[in-house]
Amino acid sequence: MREKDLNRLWEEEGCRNLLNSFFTAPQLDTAQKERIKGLALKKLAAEKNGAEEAGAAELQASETWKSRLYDKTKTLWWRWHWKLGIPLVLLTLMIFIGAQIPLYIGQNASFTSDGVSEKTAGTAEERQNTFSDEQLSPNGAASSAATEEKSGIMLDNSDVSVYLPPDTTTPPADSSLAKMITYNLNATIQVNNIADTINKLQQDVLQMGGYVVNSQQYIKESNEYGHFTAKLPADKYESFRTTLPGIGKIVSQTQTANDITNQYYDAQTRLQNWEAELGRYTEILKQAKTVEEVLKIESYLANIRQQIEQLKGQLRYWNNAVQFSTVQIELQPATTPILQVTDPWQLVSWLKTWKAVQAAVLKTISTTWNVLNYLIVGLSYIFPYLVLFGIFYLAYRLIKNKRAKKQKNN
Amino acid sequence: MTIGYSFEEIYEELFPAIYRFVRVRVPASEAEDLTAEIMVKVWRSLAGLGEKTSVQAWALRIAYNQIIDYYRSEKHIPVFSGKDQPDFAHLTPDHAEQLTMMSCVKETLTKLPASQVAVIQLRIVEGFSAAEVADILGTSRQAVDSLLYRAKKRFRKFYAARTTGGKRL
Repeated sequence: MREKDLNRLWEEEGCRNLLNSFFTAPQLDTAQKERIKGLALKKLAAEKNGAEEAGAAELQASETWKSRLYDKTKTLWWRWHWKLGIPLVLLTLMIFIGAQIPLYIGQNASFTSDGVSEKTAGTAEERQNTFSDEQLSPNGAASSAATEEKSGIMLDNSDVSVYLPPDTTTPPADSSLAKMITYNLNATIQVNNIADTINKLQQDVLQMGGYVVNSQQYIKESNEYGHFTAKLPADKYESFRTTLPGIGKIVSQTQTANDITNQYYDAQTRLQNWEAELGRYTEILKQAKTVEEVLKIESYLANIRQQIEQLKGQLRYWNNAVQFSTVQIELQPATTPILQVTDPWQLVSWLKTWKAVQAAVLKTISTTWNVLNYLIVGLSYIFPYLVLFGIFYLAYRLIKNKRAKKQKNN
Repeated sequence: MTIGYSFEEIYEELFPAIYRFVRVRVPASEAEDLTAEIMVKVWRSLAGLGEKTSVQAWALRIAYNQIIDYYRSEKHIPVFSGKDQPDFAHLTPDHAEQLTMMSCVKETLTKLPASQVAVIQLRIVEGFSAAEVADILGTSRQAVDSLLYRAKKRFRKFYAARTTGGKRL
């Protein structure tokens, strides 16, 4: 029905004749026709020769198959070329959403690693504080802070220099006496495997004749962390410190050396004095006649004994602190490497490049995803305005239509 | 390739329509070579031709694809090649009126989209059915019908404007 209508439409005004005569206007030239035929035959012959050389039948089969495939893809592309992008984009989005959860965690980890390192720094400081409190508590009389030398250097992982306490500031009571110095080491190290590292550290410490005070492992934000405290014989301290770079990447390292020579010998002298006093009072006690005298002297003696005990405890503690150095190590998981070439002449391993590439790709994907999220959030911000706009537009259309109808009726 | 026809027979049958289709779309310098190429392709692919399709439509489909290939670098297939046109030199001065009419049609067709011109030529001039044209151009029947309808509207609009602007009507 429609076809007939269309045909009739074209019949009007002699259109069909006009077009017929236009398209067929220059009558086909027989000479030209023969020429083209010759050309075609030549091409066929050339093709045939080529085909025969390459094995005719096989080529033909594959050619028709190939050309059909080619035709199909071509028409598909011509018809759908931009629309094909939509499912592609959707597919990528789905993959994004699918990969979102692990991505999110990965991102979190990279964010928190900084925070954690800060925190561990804090706790390390705290520990140091409690440590020095402990150090002070047994001896109330020791007004140590003034004489104590304490210094820490936060080091880059590259150059680690040992802090040595200055000799001159507080000369010991007697230069012939041995120096009493305690060493503390705080380090934060990034390692690949926390548990293995802790095991290795424990073995090292035991081999060197030290002992493990505390070792713990914990999981935070899907990452593992570790904390390790040990006491090492003072003479092994230096050799242990040099093994640290082999464990992992040293993020920070603080060494503290306390020169307690003065306090130590002070305390020793005071102990001797108290002991002498103890002896004297014991003598006096023997000479006491009345109960009152005995009680009085006993109370003095009790006080002296207490002082002696305190000093002895303090000295024992210091002996231990001097003989055994304290080592505190925070263990962090190794973060995603960002390829930084510090020395242009040093070759960078492929593994690093590959890791950096992975990190870069993940970053881009997560950024894209986040941008999409922001877009959606932004859209919801303007949503009320959109609704308003839609209502106004609808009203406008209605009014316009009504007016048009009125005009028509008029 | 035993299909019962010789190359000459096929050539005689198909050449006029194909050449008419090619020569309005491709510069004359290329038209001959392209037509020969199409004929070779048609001849070669006849083996894979099913019973249901008409040979003519099949051949024109190949021609259409070949022209698309030819213009692949450009996005749209020009209706006319622009430079050299089927000349109307065979028309004597006596046919001056016809000559004006022809150039008028030509100008009108230039203003139409390529797809509409293709539909006009295939349906009106070559007499293919809507389904066949749809097959040739790789679209649907409905699309062909609507193209033809719109082509008619536009053609009449431009053609009327041309002729009333001139001496006729």
